[in-house]
Amino acid sequence: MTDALLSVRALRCRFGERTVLDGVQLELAVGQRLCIAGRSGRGKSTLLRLIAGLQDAEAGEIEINGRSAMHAGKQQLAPWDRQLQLVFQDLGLWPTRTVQQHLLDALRAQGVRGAEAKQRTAEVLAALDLEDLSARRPGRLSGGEARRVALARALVCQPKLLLLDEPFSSLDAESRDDGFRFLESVLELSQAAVILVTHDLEEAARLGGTHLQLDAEGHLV
Amino acid sequence: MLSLRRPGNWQGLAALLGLALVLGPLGPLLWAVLQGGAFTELGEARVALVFWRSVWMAALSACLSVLVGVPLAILSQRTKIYGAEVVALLTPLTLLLPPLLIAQGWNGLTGWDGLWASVFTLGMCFAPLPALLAARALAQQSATSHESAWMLGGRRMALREMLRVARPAAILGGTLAFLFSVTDFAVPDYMAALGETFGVYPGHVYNHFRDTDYWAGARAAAPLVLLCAAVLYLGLWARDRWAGEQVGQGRSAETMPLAGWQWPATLLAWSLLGCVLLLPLARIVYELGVAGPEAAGSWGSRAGESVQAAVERGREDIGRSLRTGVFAGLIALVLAPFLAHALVRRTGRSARLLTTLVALPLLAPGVGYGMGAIAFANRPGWTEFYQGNLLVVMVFAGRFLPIAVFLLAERFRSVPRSRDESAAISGLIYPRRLWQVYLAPQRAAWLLAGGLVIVFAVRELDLAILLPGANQSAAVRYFNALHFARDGFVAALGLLIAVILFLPIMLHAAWSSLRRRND
Repeated sequence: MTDALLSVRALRCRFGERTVLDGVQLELAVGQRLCIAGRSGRGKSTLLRLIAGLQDAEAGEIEINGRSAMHAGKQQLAPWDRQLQLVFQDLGLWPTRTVQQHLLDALRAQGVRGAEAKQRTAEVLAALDLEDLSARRPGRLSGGEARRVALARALVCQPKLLLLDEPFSSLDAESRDDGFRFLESVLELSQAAVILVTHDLEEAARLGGTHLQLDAEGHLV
Repeated sequence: MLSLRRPGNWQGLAALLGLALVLGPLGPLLWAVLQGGAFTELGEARVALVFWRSVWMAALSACLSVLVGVPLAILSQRTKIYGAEVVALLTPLTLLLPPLLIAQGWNGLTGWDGLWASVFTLGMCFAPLPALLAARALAQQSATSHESAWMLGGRRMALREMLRVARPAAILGGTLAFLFSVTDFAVPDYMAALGETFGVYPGHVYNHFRDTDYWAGARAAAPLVLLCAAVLYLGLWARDRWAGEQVGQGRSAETMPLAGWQWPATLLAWSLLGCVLLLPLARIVYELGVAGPEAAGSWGSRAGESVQAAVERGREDIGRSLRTGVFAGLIALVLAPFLAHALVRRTGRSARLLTTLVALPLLAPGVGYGMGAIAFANRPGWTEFYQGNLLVVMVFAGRFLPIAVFLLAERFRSVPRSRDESAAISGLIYPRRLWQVYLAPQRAAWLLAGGLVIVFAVRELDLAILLPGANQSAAVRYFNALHFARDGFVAALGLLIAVILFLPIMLHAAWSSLRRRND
């Protein structure tokens, strides 16, 4: 056991013959920011999925908040018990739900219902300036707006760790600036630790915090 | 001058030819609507009662179809139950069978008859409609939308999201189940003949045939056609209202782990499939060798004799049905791609209106459609045409053309628009463009569309009872034999028809699987 919020040790993952992660080690403290850069196909998203508990690895240990989340490559802790949120590269929004319903659903899954859920949803929508979009479905949102909604859904759950998978990769420069400003306000509100993966070094530099790189052999350096 | 490159010219020509096929049977119905006499009979309390009985019976059947179909779709498409692929392959087969066959099976199994047995049987017969559509919607759910639900709330949350994804498809599937139930004549007629007597509206339409008042029959069918058109439009509207756009990277959601629920879920899926297909079919197989009072020999030998009798006595009728079906299928193969392409790029209200219009021949009750065809073709000097095969082929091709059109339109939607537009810019003539962009890459679907028209033409009963040229078909012989006696011959003839109807789908599944393996 360690005092770190997240501790990853000797993580190895292969797809067929191809090794995407090999001996990955990392530690993250409460509120810390970590940026992992690397070219496309290097296993950045896989690393986040492993931390989130969405797939098994070949070997490795993961501890989250002092609890064993993965042992010998097998997931031990359900994703919803890890106190983390993952914002997917394609956002993973629910096509039939409005923005407000996204937040309410997320809270309901955590056992928060009724007036409290409504109040927390309203607070997050107001804090992130999303009130005007609250009745819209994902199909009616622009790319930038959809990203803000995905971040809001993550934020409303008050995670201790936020995993961001190339959150602004498909946006133009201006929208990306807006996105980063929005992300800063999200992080200010949540005080969560962050792992951001990206292939864009400029994006990595803007987040600040610690920077690591995934190389072709699957090592984190 | 007409340009060969303009899609509108070709699509217009296909629409005209399609119209020529359906105008005969539908003309008298539409004429009755235009003349304002379509609702006269509904003014009678007895007829109104029968009409509303048909409506609520069909509504109950449709609810049952959705309750059975959606769980089947989720279990076979999105979980790893034992034999999920087999369940997915077998589920649609019920749609290919005459509903009367399922009615025979269930009546034999349980002894149920009368009104509620009719509701139950039709619910089972059309459960594959919501199952198929929901399974397709679930297959297109994006991986991350599933995973984000799973991350937040596990199985329950993921299941809830799946139900939301399946809801628009289930609404449309339930609507279609309602339409096919409310227009069915043979099943309620059979169940009423076996037990408690009750009337349904297609039966009321059929009574005009008995009175040889064909125009009155066509007129009586008109309210049902209008109801069906309105319900389909509403169903399409509700589907669009609830539909959401799946945004993802093309990766489809994976199956949901079941852990301790693996066996109960497997049992549920196979039980539902049993209700929809396996149990009634098994009962009919059993009936192959059922002993009569003077029967001798084992079950096997009696079953063998029944099959032999069915092949010998039914061969010519089956051959005639297949010939008619093949000609109707060929017509559909030619016309359907043009109409499907006209349909595919439309959205919103215009798409719903065009879909409802194209579906009209399929929405008319078989007996009403047949009555319209008779009213149109039964006239002095047309005897040969009226009693011949050409009329049957035209009527069947027109009635089942929408099936081919909708299937192709659904497949065409997956083709990126840019591919079509680049072919248009390069100046290809339209049929060549249609072939190169849409049909060649989806040859299996194109052939399946033709195959389905053949299957539905062979299985059609309500319409075939009325048309003189179709009286000597396999379905009518089965209908008559079943009403006359319940013996091994009837079971064998029913199973023979089932095997023939399953063949195109099995060939398609084998071909698709072979192509996947080669790829």
